[in-house]
Amino acid sequence: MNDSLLVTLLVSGMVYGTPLLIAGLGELLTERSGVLNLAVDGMMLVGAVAGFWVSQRMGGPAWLVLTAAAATAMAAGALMALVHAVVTVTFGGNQVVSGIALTIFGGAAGLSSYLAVIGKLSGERGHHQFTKLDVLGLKGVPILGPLVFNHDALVYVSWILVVAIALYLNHTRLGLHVRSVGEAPQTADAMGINVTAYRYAHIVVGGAFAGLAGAYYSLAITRTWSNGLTAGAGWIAIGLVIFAFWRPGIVLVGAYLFGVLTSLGFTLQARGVTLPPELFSVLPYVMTIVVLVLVSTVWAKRRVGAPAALGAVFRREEH
Amino acid sequence: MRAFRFRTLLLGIVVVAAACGSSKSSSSDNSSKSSPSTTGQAASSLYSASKPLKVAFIMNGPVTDQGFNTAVYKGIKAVQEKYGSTVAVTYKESVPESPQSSQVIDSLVQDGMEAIFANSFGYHTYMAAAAAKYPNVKFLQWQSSEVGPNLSEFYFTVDESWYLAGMAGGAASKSGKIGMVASFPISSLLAQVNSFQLGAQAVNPGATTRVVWLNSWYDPGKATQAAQSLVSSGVDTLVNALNESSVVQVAASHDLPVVGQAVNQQTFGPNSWLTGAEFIFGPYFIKQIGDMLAGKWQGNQNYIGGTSDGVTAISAFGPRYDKAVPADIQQKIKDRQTQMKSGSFNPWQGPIADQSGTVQVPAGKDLSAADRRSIKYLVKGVLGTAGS
Repeated sequence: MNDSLLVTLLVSGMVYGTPLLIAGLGELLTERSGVLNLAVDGMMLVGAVAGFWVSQRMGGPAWLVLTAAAATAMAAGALMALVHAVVTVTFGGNQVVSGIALTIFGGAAGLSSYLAVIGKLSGERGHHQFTKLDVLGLKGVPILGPLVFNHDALVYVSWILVVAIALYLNHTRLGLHVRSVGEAPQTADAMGINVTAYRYAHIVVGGAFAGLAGAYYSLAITRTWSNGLTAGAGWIAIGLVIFAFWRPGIVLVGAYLFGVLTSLGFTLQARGVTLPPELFSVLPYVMTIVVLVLVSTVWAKRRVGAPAALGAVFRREEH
Repeated sequence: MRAFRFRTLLLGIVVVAAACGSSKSSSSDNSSKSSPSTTGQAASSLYSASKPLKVAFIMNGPVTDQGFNTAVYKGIKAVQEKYGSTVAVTYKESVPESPQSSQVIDSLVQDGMEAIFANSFGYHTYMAAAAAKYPNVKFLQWQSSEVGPNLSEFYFTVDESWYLAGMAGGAASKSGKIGMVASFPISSLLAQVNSFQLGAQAVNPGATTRVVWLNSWYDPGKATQAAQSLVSSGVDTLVNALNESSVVQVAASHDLPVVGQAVNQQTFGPNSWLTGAEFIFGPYFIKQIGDMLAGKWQGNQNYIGGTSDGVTAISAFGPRYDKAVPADIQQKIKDRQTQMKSGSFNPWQGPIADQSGTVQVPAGKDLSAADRRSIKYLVKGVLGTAGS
């Protein structure tokens, strides 16, 4: 039963959706504060190489090394995000341009590759990997076993993050403040909320999440580093936030859906479904568009949309 | 309303960017030595450390991919070892196989390159155009339909090594169900899949190879997914036909035997590694550059090299080979290897039928390496599509 097509597909989808989920949650926080961060893919790559570096060069027990690697990846992503924050919040630079410049800077022929070269990391087999845990000893339980009790630590972390972020945004005063900063920063500023501080904080945290998501690729999915390891996953994460109407729970659904659809292609091929292979590789992207169209027509009436001030520069008006 | 339009536009951009996300849009430049180049001299002039032959290599991925491009890089290193400072080597990684490559070629020629090797089929139209445009520069293209006075093509028939690797894989597979992850269903790769299967069924008549196409030259995440889906569909031996090592790692995590390609990928699965089908670029590069240094290089070549030319071989065996492959089959593999080194065995001997049963190579005939490059079918025993 646990080896059935459906269960393996769902489990595979959850694993491959996890970096999309973590990066998507980070981007969600950043965008809720009104700032667009297109540098997610670059931050993921820098986080991936930073985490891998620590994993290869640090000694000690696996849990300690992996925790340090994850923390380093988050720090690397946060540092890149800090650059984005300075450019867009303090200097009022165009958020789209800054994000794209940073993603190229950190990307497959940029900082992440350079770090790999000076650390001599390419082509090495990883010493450590986030392995699947057996939570409460229940991994053999039919269906729920592999789905819930047999994942690696970062999957469980991502679930906690979804709940925490949803609670934060909707049920705390700070969350209310950040939402107002994203919707109407002038008003928020007039009410005494420090727009700059909230934006800085959420951009940096978003970058940290992107770094962690990148490290999932080099420390959990495969245990190597190679240039361009994420293969564009950062862009998918950005799209997911929009697709999810900026709500954390839907980011989780979207990320897992995308993961399942990518896996579906290979699973069908592996079981002998003879459709052209090109069809399988476009399947996830086509389904994303289809779902978005369907959801837009149904939900248009609910007026759930982007934070109104997303992408706009905030300049404090002098009175 | 504005929010809706903004959101849709943004989503459109992002979906396109994501779909293109796995293509490389950058290249890096590494020069080992450089010195001022002189204008084209008469063919008999000698090159030296102060006036080296400037040669460039273009690749479609990173040299650290532990696959095809790493094999090219090893060839480059062999050239540098052999010729030292008489030759100045430059290489460009991750050059996209698109009109952008023309710009890369132009800038290389402007930098004074006298010869350019392009190591992927995707560059062939741009290389042919450049050969017409720069008659004094020598162009060497991996697999091309055109040749000319300053344009040659080269191809190594790794099919021979794949056949041997297939013998190893077929013997190692207890259930006879083998799974392979490959990139694109193009003719040369179809030939490799087929060669593996022919080898496998030579030692294990009921063996089948299920091939999953990744539709990417390089995507470690997807490669891992593809390999996992093969394992969960019941194969007990994996084959990595990709230019990276994810499939080898997946095999190691399930303790299944694995066959790799391009270079020795054993470090990624030390206890699972059987062998692999390697590309060895050194001998070819050294010969071509040697001819250039002596002033006797000629274009118009359609070079196809095999085991006997030293441009392909199987990798060193891993410990799993001794455990999984019985001694009598190990001897058969060794014998075939010897025959291939002397050029006396063609793995593609008829009758060979394709998946639908049609006989493609009749009994008593064999298919030459040149003809194998344009096949469009998968042989009987391979499960999966041959693409459109």
